[in-house]
Amino acid sequence: MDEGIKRVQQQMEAQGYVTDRAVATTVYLAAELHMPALIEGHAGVGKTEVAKVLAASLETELIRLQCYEGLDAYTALYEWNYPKQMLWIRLAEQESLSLDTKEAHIFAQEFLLKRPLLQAIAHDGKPPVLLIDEIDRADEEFEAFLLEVLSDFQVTIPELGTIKAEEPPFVVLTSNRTRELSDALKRRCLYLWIDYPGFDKELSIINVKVPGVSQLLAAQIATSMAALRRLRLTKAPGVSESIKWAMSLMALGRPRLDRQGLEETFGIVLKDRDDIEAVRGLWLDQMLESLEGKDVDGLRELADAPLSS
Amino acid sequence: MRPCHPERSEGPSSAAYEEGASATPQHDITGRILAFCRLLRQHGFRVTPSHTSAALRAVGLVDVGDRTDFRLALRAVLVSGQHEIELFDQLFSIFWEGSLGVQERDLATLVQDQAAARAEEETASYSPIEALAIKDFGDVAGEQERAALEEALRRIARKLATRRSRRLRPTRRGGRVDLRRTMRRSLRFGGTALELARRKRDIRKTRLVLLCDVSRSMDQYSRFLLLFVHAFHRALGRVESFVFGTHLTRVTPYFRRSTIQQALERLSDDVLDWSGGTRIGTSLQAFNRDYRGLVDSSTTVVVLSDGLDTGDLDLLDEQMALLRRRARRLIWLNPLLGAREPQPLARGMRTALPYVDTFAPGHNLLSLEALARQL
Repeated sequence: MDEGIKRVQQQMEAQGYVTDRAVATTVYLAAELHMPALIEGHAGVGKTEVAKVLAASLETELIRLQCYEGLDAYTALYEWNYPKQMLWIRLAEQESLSLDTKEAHIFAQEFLLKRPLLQAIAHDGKPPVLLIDEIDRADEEFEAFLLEVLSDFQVTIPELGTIKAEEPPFVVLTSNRTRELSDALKRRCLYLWIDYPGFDKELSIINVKVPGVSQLLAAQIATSMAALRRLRLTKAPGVSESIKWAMSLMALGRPRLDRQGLEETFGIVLKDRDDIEAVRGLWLDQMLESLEGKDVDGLRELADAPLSS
Repeated sequence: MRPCHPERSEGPSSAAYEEGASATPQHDITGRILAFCRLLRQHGFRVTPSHTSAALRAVGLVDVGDRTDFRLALRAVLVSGQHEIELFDQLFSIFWEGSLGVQERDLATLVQDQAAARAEEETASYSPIEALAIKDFGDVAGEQERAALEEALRRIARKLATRRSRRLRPTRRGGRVDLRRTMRRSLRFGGTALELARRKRDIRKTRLVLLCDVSRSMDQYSRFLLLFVHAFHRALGRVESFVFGTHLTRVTPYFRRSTIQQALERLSDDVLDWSGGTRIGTSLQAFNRDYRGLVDSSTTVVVLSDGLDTGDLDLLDEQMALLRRRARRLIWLNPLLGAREPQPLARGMRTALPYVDTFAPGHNLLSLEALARQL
């Protein structure tokens, strides 16, 4: 394996992120080529984590822009600090300054509130990692605006002039694919698809995140998750659910999965009422039965070969 | 559908990879990567020159002797969606690693399987509303489905009506307080905001002319397309609509004040060439002659038709050219474009095509929604 990729993989693992080579390669290239990386995958597979780990391994700041419907350029870029401006005007009342001077004073850097995008551009020192989270939730107009910013990393503020990044930030975009992104945006990015982890990867993630977990319990969770994700659920559980599930079962003092433990913790795994009812009615007994008496290897086999439906 | 002709001349050769990686000079592997990009492009990947150059840089950063690194690096750069990953891996293995049991025949099957799987995935993962969105209007059966479609069309129209531009403009009342301007004004009064400046988002104004084909060949689509036309009338102020078969009829008044049901009933009574033949050229000539005032450099003209013209094609060519010169944009929606079995374009369509700015399918909700976004 390439030294650079290996180093990234080690750094990521040191940060508690269990990775595979596709993830490590993309992160390595994003850092070296200085290209934005677009990460897609189901909810809860650790897309956001990649940006956090990238920032930690580059030893730089992480700036996060959470997207939502209706997010506009002003919220993402900058705003003036109006209360502060108002206070200053009050304080300057006694002084006989001209209007122009006053105006120039309050529309200066120190009254500027930098929102994530401007922060990422106007950094001094090491370029930060800019995480644009769930870009699919913002509307297409915002996406077009973002494309402008990402192509030249400069922003013009009428009162201050143009601010340009000395060195562009590292950009990570994530999407849950609730809508297709524009071709223009996709073209600009490295692409990474993070799938649900396989049995062994999920097992090591649980081990890393929940120290002291019993191997049997972790394996039972990984197998149940693999099976649950094969059902067509409204909200399939992600890896973060596996971790929380393992933590809860540990806290309840259960060394393995049984009916009572499952009943008590089911709400952690499935969040949708219809899903819970469907699983409880059709499938739960079968699953418990098939987990019964299996060791880690048996469970791995079961996870890789689907339960009969 | 992706064409499936792997590049024969570049043929699979495992030797090229095995030896080329470590022993061959850099320019050889560069040539191979360029050829690989070409192969991807032939299979429907969107590989631009900037992709190619990024691929070359990426490969320079990893150990090309390690096949997995090499593949993952190229994949990160050249793939732009999950659905492309499997095909990429297959093409990679054919091109760089020799056939390894994968024959060209298998590749053709794979490409087809992929398309089928994608279609199935799209259908399966859609909620009922979304499944409806990709249903061909020609396949719509039953009152219930029709009602659901009509409701969805109205939703698109509402969205369209409330679509705002991103720019904010100053306004006297309503909207949000524009603190920046308020602050400037207040300077004059020692920092007391006597007057709040406001701004709000502009509503985009699109001036639209819709020309809908209601001849027999369009029967299964025209009802829904007219629903769409009706929705536009509701949503936007400046819409003019026409239907045509062998003649042109202005139908704006029908849509202005009535429910869609009433409008459709009165229309089919009054429009004599409903479900008849098609003479697009003649109809456009009538439009250009009698309604030229409706089209100016800020008007978008949308033609909804399959382009099956039984009339004079030279006339069609001439009238399309005329329309093109006057309008800001010319959009042609052709329901046949969305057909599962790709069909050759009708002669009339081929004649009109050179003058069209946007040529898109118009056979289901999704395609109409995509159009609405462009306006």
